[in-house]
Amino acid sequence: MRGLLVKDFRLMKMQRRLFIIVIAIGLIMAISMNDSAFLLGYITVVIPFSAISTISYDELGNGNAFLFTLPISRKEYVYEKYGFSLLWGVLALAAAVVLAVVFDLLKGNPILETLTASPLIFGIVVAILAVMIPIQLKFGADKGRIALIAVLGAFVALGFSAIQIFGLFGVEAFAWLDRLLALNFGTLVAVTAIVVTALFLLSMRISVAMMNKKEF
Amino acid sequence: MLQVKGLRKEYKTFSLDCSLEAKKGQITGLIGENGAGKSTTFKAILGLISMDGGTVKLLGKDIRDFTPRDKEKLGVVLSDSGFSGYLTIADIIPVLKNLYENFDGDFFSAQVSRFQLPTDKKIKEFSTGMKAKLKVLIAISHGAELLILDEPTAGLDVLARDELLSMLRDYMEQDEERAILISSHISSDLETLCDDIYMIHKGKVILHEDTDVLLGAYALLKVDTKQYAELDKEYILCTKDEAYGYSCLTNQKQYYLENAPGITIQNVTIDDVILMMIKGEKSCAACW
Repeated sequence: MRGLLVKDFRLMKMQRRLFIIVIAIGLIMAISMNDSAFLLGYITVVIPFSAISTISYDELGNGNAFLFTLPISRKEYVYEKYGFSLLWGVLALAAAVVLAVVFDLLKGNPILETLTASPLIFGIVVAILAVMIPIQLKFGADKGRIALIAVLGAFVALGFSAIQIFGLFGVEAFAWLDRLLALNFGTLVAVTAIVVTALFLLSMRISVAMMNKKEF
Repeated sequence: MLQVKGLRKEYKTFSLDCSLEAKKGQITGLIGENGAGKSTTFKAILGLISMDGGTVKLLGKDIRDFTPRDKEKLGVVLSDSGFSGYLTIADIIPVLKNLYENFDGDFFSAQVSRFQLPTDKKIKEFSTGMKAKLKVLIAISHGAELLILDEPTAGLDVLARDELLSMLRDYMEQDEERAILISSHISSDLETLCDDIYMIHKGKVILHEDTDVLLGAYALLKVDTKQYAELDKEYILCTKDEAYGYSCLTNQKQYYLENAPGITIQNVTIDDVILMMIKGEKSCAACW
């Protein structure tokens, strides 16, 4: 496991320039909009995605075949990818919060909003990772992009149909959503944390099952 | 060290049915043309693909029960795969240190400098020879008990091949308990290296023989039509039409030297045997 982490950190080192660009764009947008929300969201979302790109690096030139002859199991490989992406999520969130708070302080904006938004943004990032990692593992870099669009489309369609079906039975989905948002902040964070953790763990199980079936 | 029994793998256009064994202290060669099933066999042995039948025992353990810890005892080279080309040797060293308890960093670095491999250049920018040497170095740098090498010499010039083969001989000399399973389609590499050789064709093992026996007791009999008609065919494995008559492969050279005076008996190379076994008409069911 440690060996895999070292490998992925070495691969991430190549993306240093991307990180600088992401932070620069975040700052420019924040300055032009005089709002740190974009800075916070953008950095926290984009950087963990580049951690997922290590899956594509592993796959390039049939690299996975060799990788699985090394002393690692397929399960360990999957866990490492989830752990590694999550770690980058935390690092990106920490960096984004620091930058956003410094920005707010310099501009004299209230920092409370930034601080309260960050756990929810992080929840969204974890949810997206939970969807993206199995897709990348299953379909690889090229097909993965198409699969991602298909899956997102399916989610929207599913959500839309669910609302319609609930409507038929007299259940107002939006009313539920309103009620959820009206919860106090602590409850909202707790609900998000539970849902997202469950999704993340489920995604991990799916990925392990998928990897165990893969042929290289 | 390694026992493969009745390994089966079915694809739409290809099916593999293979049994072989690699013994302690020996270098076992697997030879066959491209697409004969060498890589499929290797991948099944390494658990990279599922099997449709048969068993693979590695270091006394069923491959299905093989743990990451057990894998530390293997050194592997795959022909079409390796570490990400975006990494450098400097990147790989800490990775190997963290993967293998017995990784010998000093040995690895010494060999890297001996072969003048650049440590800060991306592997994808390496020449074929450099890549091949690095792959073998990775396989032999953590005290593996068994090396499984799929086409480690592919695409190399004579000099690089020679260097690589001596690396493997050195590896074997260090410990009598070690073993190597190596595949190649360059038979001369295996002739000089292997103790025994399996020949695989269309997914089936068509010949297994000690290299010494293969090169010593096998021979080509070159006969014209009249000689062929009179020839005792008891020890003829296969026969091929030639412009002058027939060439016949035997595994009993001595018998024909003593009993068939006047015919041309020629020593064989592994290439000759492959050609005869594949292109020739079989006369002996036992060898198929």
